[in-house]
Amino acid sequence: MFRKIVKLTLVSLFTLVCLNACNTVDEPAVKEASPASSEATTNTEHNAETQKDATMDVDKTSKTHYVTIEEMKFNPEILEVKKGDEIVFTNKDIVPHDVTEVNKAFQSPTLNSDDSWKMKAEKSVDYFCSIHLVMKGKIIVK
Amino acid sequence: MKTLKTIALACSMLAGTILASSSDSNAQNQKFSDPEIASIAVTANQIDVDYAKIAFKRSKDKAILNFAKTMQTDHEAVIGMATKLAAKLNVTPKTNAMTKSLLEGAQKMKMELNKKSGKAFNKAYVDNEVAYHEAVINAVENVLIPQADNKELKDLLIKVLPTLKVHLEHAKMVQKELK
Repeated sequence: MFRKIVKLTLVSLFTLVCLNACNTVDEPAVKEASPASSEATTNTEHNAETQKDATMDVDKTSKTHYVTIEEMKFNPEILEVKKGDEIVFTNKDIVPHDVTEVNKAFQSPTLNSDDSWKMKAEKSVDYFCSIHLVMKGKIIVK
Repeated sequence: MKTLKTIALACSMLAGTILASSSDSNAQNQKFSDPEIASIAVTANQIDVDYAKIAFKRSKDKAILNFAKTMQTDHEAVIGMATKLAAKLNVTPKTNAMTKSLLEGAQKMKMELNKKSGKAFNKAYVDNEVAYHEAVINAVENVLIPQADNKELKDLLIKVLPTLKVHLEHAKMVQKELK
């Protein structure tokens, strides 16, 4: 009987260790998807793979959306968000870009290759790249 | 009127230099090595940087200066990437017939542009930018990308193509506003 209890305890402990190990492996992927903390910053470590979802929860009320600047386009060109959501722009091109509201209500710093910049969505806006005037995008606040 | 004709001739000569190399069936059969393609890419970008530098001296138009600044920044970025890649691949850009033709055409165009100022310069500059980008896009699409052997060189040319197309669109927009 005593041997059986010891055997069961060992099996349970082994299972617990395995489960814990699995959780530890998953953790970094969540950390990599975390948004940058400052308002205007560069972020060369932004993981492009994690941007595929384009949206992730930050807290219960706001979300972070990702716009990739690649092949001389804002992708997605039209983005629907809620008021207060955060939008992170990342330049994946080899030439610099910026994000400028059509009436110059806001303008990002020049984003060199792999730089990121984030803003908070307050209202619907049309924007463009002031370096390449034909590049345009739209944020729709629902 | 005479100068307009000269500019038009110079534009067509320059565009013709590249187009002849990219459209003519004999030229398309002409094989460029990777070092030659690297030389063509760097030269074509440098020529447009040089045109932009002339614009800074000869024009006061905001749209022209903004466009010229973009050309300088972007083409210098491409030259930087091409030079870095050539060093990584241990490739020395090799001068060839197309490089020489490009430089000869650019020399004539630079002389023409340097003679002009004000509205005449703005028109000549932007007209040349439209013609030049059309010709370069054609050469990159039809000659350089298909002929590049090294994958990284081919990928760089493919990556540069959308930039050239946006430059063309931008140049046409400025050209339309000047009219």
